[in-house]
Amino acid sequence: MTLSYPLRLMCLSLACLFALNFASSIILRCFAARAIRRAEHMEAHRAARFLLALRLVPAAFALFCTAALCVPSYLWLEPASATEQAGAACLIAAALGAALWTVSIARGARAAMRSFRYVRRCRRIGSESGPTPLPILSIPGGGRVVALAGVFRSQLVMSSQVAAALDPAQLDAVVRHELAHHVSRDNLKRLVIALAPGCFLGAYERAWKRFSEWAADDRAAAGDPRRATDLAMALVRVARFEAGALPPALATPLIANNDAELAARVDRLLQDRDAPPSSSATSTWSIVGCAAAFVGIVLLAPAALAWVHGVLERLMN
Amino acid sequence: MTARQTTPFTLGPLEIAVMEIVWSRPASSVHDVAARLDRPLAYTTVMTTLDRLYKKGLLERRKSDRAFVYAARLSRGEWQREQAGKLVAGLLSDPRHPSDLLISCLVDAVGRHDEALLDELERKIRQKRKDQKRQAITRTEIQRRKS
Repeated sequence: MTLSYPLRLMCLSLACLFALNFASSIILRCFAARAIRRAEHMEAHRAARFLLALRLVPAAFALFCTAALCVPSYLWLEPASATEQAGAACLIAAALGAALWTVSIARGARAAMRSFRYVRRCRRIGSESGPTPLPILSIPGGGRVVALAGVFRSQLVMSSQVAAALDPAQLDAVVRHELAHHVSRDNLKRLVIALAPGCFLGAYERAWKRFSEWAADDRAAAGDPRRATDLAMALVRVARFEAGALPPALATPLIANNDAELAARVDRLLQDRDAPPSSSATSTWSIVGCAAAFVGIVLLAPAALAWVHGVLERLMN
Repeated sequence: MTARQTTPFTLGPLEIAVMEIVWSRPASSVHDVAARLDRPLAYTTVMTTLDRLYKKGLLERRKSDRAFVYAARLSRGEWQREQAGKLVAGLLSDPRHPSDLLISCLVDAVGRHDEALLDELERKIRQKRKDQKRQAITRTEIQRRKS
């Protein structure tokens, strides 16, 4: 099929996005068990950050390489007047790339919309209370509803029965736990995960969820054994309620419907632990710095772009 | 096409003992397994058992220095989940058993298990609180004596 200059660019970009994403996903899938084992030896908040980074690598790597290498090399080295045939493999990869990203964006948008509707409905039927840093939105009825809902303006949603069943210390521990999720923007991370395509990376997502819960438990306990036992007791009390309807995908429930996970969390809370260090933005800045340095190096080395252009020519034909 | 097996494997005591050893290590030779068994068994007995487990699809093997090295195809958890799934699927597909009765029994059993687990966790937490109180009292005593 003969394609015009901009269509070829779009086709190549989508094909690159798919190929890079798929290849890096497969490589990461092969190392999933080893990565999770390694994470188990880290502190919970570090393990959560490590696993989230690995889960997002394929999408970030594909986007970065396409935007920083493929597109500049094409615009710089591809003659604008030339018409060229696109091979079947390139077209198939481009179609898969388009499908992959469309599905991911649709999944993220749908999850965000559901979360928005859930919070709006809770606000309509519930009542806000408590001068806590994270106000509790108490909704009428029973069931095991304790979750941090909402992506940007998160709200702690709790059923009135659960709120009544917890004593003030336990309620404080639960609020601290959900506040830890709020501070580490876990719902936003869930949205980013939904938006970032990655094939066969469910193991990383599940492990990240587990470690992010552990990290929130650690931050809620803050090295205080009394507070840790209060949170453990709150978990058990909440688990005694009927599970009921699941909260939306972009909400962080206090407990998942998983006995083994609950038992592991309670056991962790009963072990005396030091308070986790406060999070710093150092790692984010180091990633941004590395990326900027990489872009600089690439732009200063035309040979790299020429090589990439050669690869793109092969992909196209 | 082969029909999907819905009945769980029944493993003998020796097979279970061998699987426990294989699960505890990334890879095991016949010699490794024989050395770790509770009772002394002939090399050929262990080899036959490993071969049988390989043929049942529980183990994978590769050749290393003219001998086979075995590793578990599934982790213990995955295997248990698979067996439980096969057991439930087998029960539900049997026309002699009404499926709604089986499901209700299963739900009851899960509920009882959940309650028992939560009771156990609550007991642990209460015990921990008692320990914390005791430690706090001891600490106060020591401080009072010092002052």
